[in-house]
Amino acid sequence: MGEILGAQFWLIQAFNGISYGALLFLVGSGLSLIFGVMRIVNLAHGSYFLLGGYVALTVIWTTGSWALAIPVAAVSIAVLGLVMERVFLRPLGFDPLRQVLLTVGFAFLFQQAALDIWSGNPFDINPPAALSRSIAVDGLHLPVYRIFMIVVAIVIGLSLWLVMEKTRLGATIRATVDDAEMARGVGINTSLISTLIFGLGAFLAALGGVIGGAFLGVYPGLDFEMLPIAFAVVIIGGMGSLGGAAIGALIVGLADNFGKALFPEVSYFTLYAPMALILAVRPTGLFGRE
Amino acid sequence: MTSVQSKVVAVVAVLAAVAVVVPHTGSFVILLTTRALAFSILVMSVDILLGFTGLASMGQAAYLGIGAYLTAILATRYHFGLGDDFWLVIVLAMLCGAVLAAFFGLFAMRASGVYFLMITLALGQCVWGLAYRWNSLTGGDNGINLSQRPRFFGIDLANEVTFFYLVFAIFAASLLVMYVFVRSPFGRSLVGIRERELRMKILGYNTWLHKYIAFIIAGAFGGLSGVLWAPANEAVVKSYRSKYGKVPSYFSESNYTTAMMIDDVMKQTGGKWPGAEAFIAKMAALHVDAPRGPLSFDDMRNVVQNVYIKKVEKTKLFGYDKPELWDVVIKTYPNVSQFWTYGKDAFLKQPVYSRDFPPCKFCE
Repeated sequence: MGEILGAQFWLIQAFNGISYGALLFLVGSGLSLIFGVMRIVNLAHGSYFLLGGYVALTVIWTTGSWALAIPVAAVSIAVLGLVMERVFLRPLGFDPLRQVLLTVGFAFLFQQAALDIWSGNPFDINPPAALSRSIAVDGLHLPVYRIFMIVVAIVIGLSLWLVMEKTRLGATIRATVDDAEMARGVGINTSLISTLIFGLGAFLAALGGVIGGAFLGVYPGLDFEMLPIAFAVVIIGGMGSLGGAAIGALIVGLADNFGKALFPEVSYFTLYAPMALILAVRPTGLFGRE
Repeated sequence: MTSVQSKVVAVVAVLAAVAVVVPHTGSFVILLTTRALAFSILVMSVDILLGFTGLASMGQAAYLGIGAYLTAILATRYHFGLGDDFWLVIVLAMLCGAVLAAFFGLFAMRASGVYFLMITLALGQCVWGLAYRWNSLTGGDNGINLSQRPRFFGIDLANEVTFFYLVFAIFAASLLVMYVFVRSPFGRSLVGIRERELRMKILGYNTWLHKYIAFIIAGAFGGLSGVLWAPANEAVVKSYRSKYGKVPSYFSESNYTTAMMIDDVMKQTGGKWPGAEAFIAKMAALHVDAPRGPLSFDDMRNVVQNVYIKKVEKTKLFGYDKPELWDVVIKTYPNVSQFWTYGKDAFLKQPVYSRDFPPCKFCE
């Protein structure tokens, strides 16, 4: 045990946890924004992640381009999200239970559709060779791909933050999160904001699916594996808060990694028990707005 | 007749029809109905929360899981609940469901609306996570196979019709109890909470306690449904023997499983021949719960299945009264692939097995 639990072990596991957290940030930030703006608990969010991976695979198989697969997958799933919001969710009005049932229904539909289109075989998304290497830093072998994931998450997170804090659009979104009724009252088109946010959430989840497909794989059931983990991120971080999603993603990424490495038999428990506790003590999450 | 009375009459008539007709159908329909009845108890418990109290619980399946795992673990590890002590398992499972709900309720009841929904999701995931990962206790995603059905007050349940009638009786009793419950003054108070909790509070009701009790009762019925869920699907040995006068062999099992797989694929395609390529792809993607245990294929279409280490023992198995010589499983290696623990890449890199490979450790 002494050898396994040396400094190397902790460093590598921490690095793995942070890079997994980077991926979770992509999934969780979208879910968090959707909940914050629209108060919709979107149980189809894991499906966006999975479908993003599958669409990327199709693009890679037909064109051979990994770089092209990322935008195509993310944009097409964003369109899917937009349609779902406009055509199906909008007419329901605000009724959490119906929204939940509708989105979980879609999640099952997407699951079966993916099975019919892409079969039940597990696939891997192979990134370009330049990203598949690993570099040695101070005796630690770090996969370049995981560093790439962290960079992507930081870039996305920073641009989201800039848009949210520094632009007029961001200000209207924040106003909608805080008080949709007041925002409507001062002339903000909250309906458009909601649709945009839903599309953005689907976009981010699909992006996560493509990028995560390289080390998680793309297989049936991945959707319902990612969904509760994304919820854990959102709940720990607080709903509708970008910074919260980032911190939540880091906590969940590290907890999941160390949980699996140290206590494999109860690893999911170490993830969901804190989530339930936080919900009980602070329902809006650690950094959520009241 | 009032509308309530006519509804009751209609429900009783449908149930009576089910009880009379189903035993005369094939074994598939009987087992399916048995499972549906067990599941209905869980559904009714959700209805107490969602329909009557207005609590949208996403974690109710956890109680079915507790009941089912309790039954399976007691049976396989402690040989408990396999005979006439089965009724004790039912009581225990309801107790466990209630205790778990009493514990979870302390957390869940602090939240309301969407937050209640998510906290119950998180609590349900806790139970799922344990069941999925705690391999040494639950068998992970392979689960636990029950090789026999228990007895209930002297009645042998190995026969699928007998088992159906037991599940039917427990379902009917649960329906009656829950019906009386929701129509009682207490049940009425739950409806009041659903409609307007604040008004109920002002009227002097301790709404937290009422919701909490509803949550616990729903948990107990969830546990009950799990007990009936667990042993619903293992009857191959007995039905084969009663039909052919001998126990199924290696060959009968593998042909049976092949037929199961063809059947599964044809069900997916709605009975149409999908073409050879699509047929192979669909078959390779199957996950079959075969008599031998869970079975699937790797990407080279080689089977991934459990490997059992067995010893021949004179013992009572599969619900038979007399001890006989059986192959008794003493150790299970779950989901063994053709690459064993080496992994595909490492395994395929090795040369073909020969006189010189793997190299002899003790030769000069």
